[in-house]
Amino acid sequence: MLLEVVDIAKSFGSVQALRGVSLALKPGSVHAVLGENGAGKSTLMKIISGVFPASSGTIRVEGQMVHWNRAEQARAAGVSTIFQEFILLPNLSVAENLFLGRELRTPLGLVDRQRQREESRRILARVGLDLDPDVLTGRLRVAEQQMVEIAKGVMRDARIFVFDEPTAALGDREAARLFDLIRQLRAEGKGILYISHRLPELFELCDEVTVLKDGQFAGHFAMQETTATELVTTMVGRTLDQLFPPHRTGGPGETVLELRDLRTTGFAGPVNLAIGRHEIVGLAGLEGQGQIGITRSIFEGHAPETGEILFEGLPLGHAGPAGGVAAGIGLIPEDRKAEGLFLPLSVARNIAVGLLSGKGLAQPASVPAEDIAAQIQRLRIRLRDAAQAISELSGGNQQKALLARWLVRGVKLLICEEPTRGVDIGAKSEIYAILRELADSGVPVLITSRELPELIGLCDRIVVVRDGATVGSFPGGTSTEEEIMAAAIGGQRA
Amino acid sequence: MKLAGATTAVRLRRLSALPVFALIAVLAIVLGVASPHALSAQNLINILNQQVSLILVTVGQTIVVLTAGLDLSVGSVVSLTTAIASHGTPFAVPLAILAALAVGLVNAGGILRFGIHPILMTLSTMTAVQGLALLVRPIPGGTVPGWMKTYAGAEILGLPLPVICAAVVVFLAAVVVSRSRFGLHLMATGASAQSALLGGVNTGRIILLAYLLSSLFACLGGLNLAARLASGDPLVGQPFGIDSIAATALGGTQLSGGLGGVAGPVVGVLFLALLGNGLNLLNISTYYQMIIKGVLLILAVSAHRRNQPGL
Repeated sequence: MLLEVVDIAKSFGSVQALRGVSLALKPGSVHAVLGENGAGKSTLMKIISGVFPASSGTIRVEGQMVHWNRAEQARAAGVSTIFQEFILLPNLSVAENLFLGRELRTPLGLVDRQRQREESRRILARVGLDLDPDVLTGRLRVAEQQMVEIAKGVMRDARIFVFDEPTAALGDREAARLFDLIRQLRAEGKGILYISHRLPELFELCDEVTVLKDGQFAGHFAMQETTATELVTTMVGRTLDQLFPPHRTGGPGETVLELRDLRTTGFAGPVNLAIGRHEIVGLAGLEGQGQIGITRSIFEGHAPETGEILFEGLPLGHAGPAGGVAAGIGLIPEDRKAEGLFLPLSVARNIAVGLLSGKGLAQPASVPAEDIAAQIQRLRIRLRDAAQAISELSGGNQQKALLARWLVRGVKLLICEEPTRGVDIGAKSEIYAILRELADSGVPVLITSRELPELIGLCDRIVVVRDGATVGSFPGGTSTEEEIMAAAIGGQRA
Repeated sequence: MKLAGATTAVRLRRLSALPVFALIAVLAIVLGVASPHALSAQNLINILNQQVSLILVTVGQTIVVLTAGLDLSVGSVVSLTTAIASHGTPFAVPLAILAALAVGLVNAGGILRFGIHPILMTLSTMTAVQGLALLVRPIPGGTVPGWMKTYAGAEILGLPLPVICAAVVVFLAAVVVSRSRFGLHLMATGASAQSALLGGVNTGRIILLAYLLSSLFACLGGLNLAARLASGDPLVGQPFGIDSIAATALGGTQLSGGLGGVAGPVVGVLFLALLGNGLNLLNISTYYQMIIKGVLLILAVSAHRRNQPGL
């Protein structure tokens, strides 16, 4: 075995991210690691690449026990990781990045640019990349940067390559090139760990697959002997039914929000969308197709390029988020930490922020303890006390606090971008239940999500967005990921 | 980094200094037309000789700025150096150098070990070291060793020795920053300490060296100043902190780190000096000079169009 991971566990504070996961990687094979978001794939990969140590368990490379605390140690042992966020330095040239930390030097001790350039060309050619080694790395396309990362691993004679969702940002042709390269690495006897949740590419590329669920080992299969259905069942398991509240049986109710021929900046558009009083509507689509542009147009009231937004029958005419709040709209942003929370402040203050908007600057910033305590109880936010800094809470409880912020104010429309990003499975189902409760009580909910199972399980209707245009609408519950995906991809890939 | 569409890393770094070279050329032409004396060899040599200390301090500042840091304490180190060097003891100069290195060590220690922001850390040492300088020499005076006076007055082929020494130091520093492993690692650390660390750069050591060098260059600047004054002055270094930062920024070194070089900031010092000198020759009052300098600084710095606002 090239790499053996035995009974690895990892906890962050009170959150148990991994519980006893094992995996064995053979040389000359591509081993997929499959699981839902939050299943612990990325945590496992980070342990294998030395970003942080495991809480317990052992890792063996070619039979030798290893203990890594830093990425450099893993790299020295021959593990090369191609992270989702690249670690290439944008202000250095490709050659400088390739040789960073082990520069070739002239007899005078200066960096030998000429030799580095020549060596770089040779290495880049090995990964099939025809690039000027002097070019500024920040100028490269994402796919090229990824190739440079791989070249760096090849150059350092890595034996184990870890790919963390490498095709997320790639087009078809680029992905095909990447697969060729991975096959070439396999032919050279390297071991490859490949994380992805795109099933078709796993069948195309991988030899075996380890499935994780809720931080636990859920199954191991030879790729040739398994089916997509079996993998999905293993990955999602029983949870899918229990995770989501039942869909609404009644009608959507009267229209609360209507977007007519809306075009947002930078996208072709148009968006046409109507949300009823009792509906949960989800926006689906590939990454960055204008979903956030739509939610922010509603909340922040940027004047759209064309079209109009009707809220309760009247055109929305506010500018800026304060206007959105005044109109009765609440937004839970995608990037919770950067845009939603005031991390050093208490949970109570973070919730009370919902009451601030519309107050004069000289008015006291009241923190009504009783109302807040009621919300904390209703949403079952787990904390020591309300004066605790919100940064100490888990992702799920932070997200619930943001919900509480709008509940304590009382909104007429809730927009929730990625409602369960970085939220553990237990809190997920609680959040889903609250959103459903809201819709039932007459507060419609608009969500965006990267996770199709979530959209299908939670929403009454899923609207697909492509290049800033609404291109399809699917009923929740009964739609399949495939048909939604097909609409999201359109003619581009297929 | 949109700098004129540079596509290679080396070209980008060279281009970063372009605006200040253009500015000084324009200024030279304007002054040459307005005042015939301004560009005389004697006047230029005088300006150079006066600016040697600031040039040395600015080289050190640039090294720190490349790591995305800032060193406000350089002015106090200049003052302390003149205060110690003018004490007439045999070990005055080595003592001044040790004191400066200690300041650099404290700066780097606070930043690396305790995670204090460079501005706050060096603001603190700036204040403390200023106090130390006043303790060592409460009022200007004393005298420096004879060899320092000789150094300050010596000329080779009509060029003052301090100017020649500064030219050699600047050349060496420029080579180290643009061509050596250390220089590359400065820029890697400045662009993203996290990525640089993952990429195999010992960022802690780079930052420590940067602050040590900054203090050392400030000390050299102080020694040169003490030699020129032939005495010590506990407040003489005060303008050096801000002036060195202004020249560094003017010279195209990005204050957020990762991009720049030594040549640009040195020309930045000369630009500011030539500007002051020219305005003097044109009999413009000091008050207007300050306003003009401030406005020009904004214009010059905004000439560096970058993706991020500011520097």
